[in-house]
Amino acid sequence: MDFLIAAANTAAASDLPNQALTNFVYANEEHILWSLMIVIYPYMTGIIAGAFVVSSLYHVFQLQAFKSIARFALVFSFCFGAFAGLPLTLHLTQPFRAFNIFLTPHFTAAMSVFGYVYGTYMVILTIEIWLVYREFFVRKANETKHIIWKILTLGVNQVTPESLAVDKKLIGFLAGLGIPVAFILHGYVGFIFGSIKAVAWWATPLQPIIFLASAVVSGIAMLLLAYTFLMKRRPNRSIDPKVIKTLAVCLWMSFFIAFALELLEVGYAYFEHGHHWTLIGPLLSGPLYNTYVIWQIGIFSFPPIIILGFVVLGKLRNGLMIFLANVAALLLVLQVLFMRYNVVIGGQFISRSDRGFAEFHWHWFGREGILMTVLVFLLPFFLFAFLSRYIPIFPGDHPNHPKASTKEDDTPKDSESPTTSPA
Amino acid sequence: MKTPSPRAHIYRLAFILLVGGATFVFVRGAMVPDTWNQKRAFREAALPEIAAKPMKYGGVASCAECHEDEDEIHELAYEDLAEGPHSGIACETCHGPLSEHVKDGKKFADATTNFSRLACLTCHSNLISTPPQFPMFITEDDVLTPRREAELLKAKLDAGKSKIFIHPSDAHNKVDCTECHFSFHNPETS
Amino acid sequence: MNLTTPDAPPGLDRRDFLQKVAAGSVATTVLLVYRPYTSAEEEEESDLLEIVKEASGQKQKPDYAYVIDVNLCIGAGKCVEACNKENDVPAGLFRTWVERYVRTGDGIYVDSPNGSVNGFIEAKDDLVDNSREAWFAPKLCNHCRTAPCIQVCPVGATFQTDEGFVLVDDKHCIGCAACVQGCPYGSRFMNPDTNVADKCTWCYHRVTKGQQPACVEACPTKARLFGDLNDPESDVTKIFKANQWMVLKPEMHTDSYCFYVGMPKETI
Repeated sequence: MDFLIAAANTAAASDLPNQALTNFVYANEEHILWSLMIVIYPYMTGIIAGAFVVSSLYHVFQLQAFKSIARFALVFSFCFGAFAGLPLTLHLTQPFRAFNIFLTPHFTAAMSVFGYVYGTYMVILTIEIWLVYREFFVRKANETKHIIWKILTLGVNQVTPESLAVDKKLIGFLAGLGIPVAFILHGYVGFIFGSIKAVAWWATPLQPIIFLASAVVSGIAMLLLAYTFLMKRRPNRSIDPKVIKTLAVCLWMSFFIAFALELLEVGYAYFEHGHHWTLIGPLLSGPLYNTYVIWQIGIFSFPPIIILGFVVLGKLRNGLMIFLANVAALLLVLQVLFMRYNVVIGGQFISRSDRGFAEFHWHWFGREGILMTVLVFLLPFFLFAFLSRYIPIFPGDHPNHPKASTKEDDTPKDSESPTTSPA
Repeated sequence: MKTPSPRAHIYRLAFILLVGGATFVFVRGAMVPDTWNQKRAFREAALPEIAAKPMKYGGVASCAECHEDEDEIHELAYEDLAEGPHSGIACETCHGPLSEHVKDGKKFADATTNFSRLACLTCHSNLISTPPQFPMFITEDDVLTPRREAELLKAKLDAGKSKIFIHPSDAHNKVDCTECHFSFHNPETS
Repeated sequence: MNLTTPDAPPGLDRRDFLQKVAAGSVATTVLLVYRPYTSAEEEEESDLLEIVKEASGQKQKPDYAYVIDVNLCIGAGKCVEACNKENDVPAGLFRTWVERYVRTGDGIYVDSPNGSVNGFIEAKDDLVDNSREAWFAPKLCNHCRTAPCIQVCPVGATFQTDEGFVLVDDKHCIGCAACVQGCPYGSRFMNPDTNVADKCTWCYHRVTKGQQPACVEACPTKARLFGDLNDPESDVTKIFKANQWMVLKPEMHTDSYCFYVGMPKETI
């Protein structure tokens, strides 16, 4: 990381770009406009994309290790998907006109496709989940006669092996189709940033790929944490070390790619030493020094690479392996969160005057305050907790029958659907 | 009960998607603004809306409507604006916008006429960034830095040609510039 | 839709319009055929041009440009005051503002206290003494012909008229602020009163009524000029022809239509 240190050193001599004697920002740049909601939005879509990939690794690529978490990953992705539009709507100063993005999309702007890409992805995801759970819905409808279950069966209250075969085929197709759509949904966020030439810290064609790679990282890491947490919480479940190990392998590989790309971006700017570096150099050694150099790179990137190396290559006993995998996952979840902050807010630090840095004002309250951001980020987890009360997430789950489930063993097969389960 | 076709639920789903899609297309079609120009991607009705915004500054002609022949001061003022040292400056630059003075064709408030030293110095104070050909006034009190001293010296040497006008330090800080200098009340001095 | 006169009823009579188009294309063809032979006979060519214009039934649309002569700007801030009043610009935000630059041996000093709405007071003594050159640079929306703000608007709420005005549709803007991010000149802001993106309109509402933009009207030194490049007599045309201008951030390739005369290269 010589160039980062070099950046820090050169910047110590002159803290401001373009021989500025004072920090000068343009008259209208007092406020950073894309704030916490725009930080949290790509963080959420990243988790959507990453979790969906894990699910599709089983549904499309038949990775058996993920069989027991394929449904979990899918529902997890859905929960985040359900709220992905919320931070954007909250960010708009005219939230009630949000529908304009469907009415008059202006296709010279990458942002204009949001409505259609997001809509397509959610339709694909919803249908896939519906197909995965259809057998369960049908049984519930027949057992309880509750209207909700009946609606969910669309009135087809029988499941035959033939119809399940149809479902399985369709699930495979949707899981495959969903990958590019999820990648577009998330990659286009990176593309929006990458194509804004006015902001030197954003304007790189690597941006969409960096966003994608880190999306996969955050999705897998978040799944790993959630999986461990959920398995620890309920006595009838136990952590499957194979799942953790396979997740750790995927995490390690995807983070190698993500981190390499992140360093490539900065490294390229440094070695090019052109107009971009005149701004990025002082940025990284100035306003972003702590959150980028120290935290994102120093604390949240190198340690997890090493820890995951032990987890993946070392011959650790299961308890330690699971513990270390979770430590690494936690660090990586934070790495991606800091990366989103450093990109979104970091880019806006650079004044268009090219001679100064704007300030970011943290607020607790308000539409884009810290509390609202935390709430928006927690909503998917609430939705997940709600859904898991009614539908089986893991094999062996008995929603609405918590007492019965404690007596069950945790065999990987879904005891509620003893016939051919699509999952 | 008859066993349904293995694809029955798919057909029903497809039907729902079709109805949903058609509803979306219909609602969207109904909601697109009437004057939307698809090719150039803008709402044409926005143009007259923006153009209809009221003007606050009326321009010199709007002032002349009432003031041109009103009194001697304004006659002199128009003369000055036509050919004097302040030629080309619009009335409203110093007197404020028409909208703060006239409403519905009638005067409702006095326009700004109280000009202190500051009003003149807004333009004529000697800043290093001011273009050198522009007339600037400084008092000897202002002369603090070596650069200013050099300017002062140069101005004294080129007396008459220089655009920097140096004033004795004491007397001139207390009176308005217009007491002696060019004003519509006292047009002889400039 | 005729963009020149927004008060006119939208849409010409279709038959009338088609006839004019037909006449226009015939005349254009004539002109194209004749062009190689008329290079020596310029008068004839210009006559033909007139014929084409008459036949196509429309006068040439104005092609507006803005010129700022840095050599004339005294930093009085009258333009900022006029703009703020004319357009109800919220306090602390600016459709136009003036920057002061001081170049010393150690670097460049830039400031713009409150957008210079009250003008400037002299810079600090050490800056004055070390100054090698100092100047004012008025800023406003550049009304770029390939405007990044228009490109990145996801809903088409900002657009350019045929005459060159880049405008914001207050009733269609969703307030995503993408245009503010896209503008390399910091000319846009989110208006806290209207909750939509806001920017200089070159006083579209004045120009369409035959007036000059408020800042041009208020400038005491004629440092700001606004005019039609299709009018050979306008001030902007003369400056444009002399080719002594430059634009801000040419590397952004925005095809800016605010031209600066006498601007030192340190101006960003």
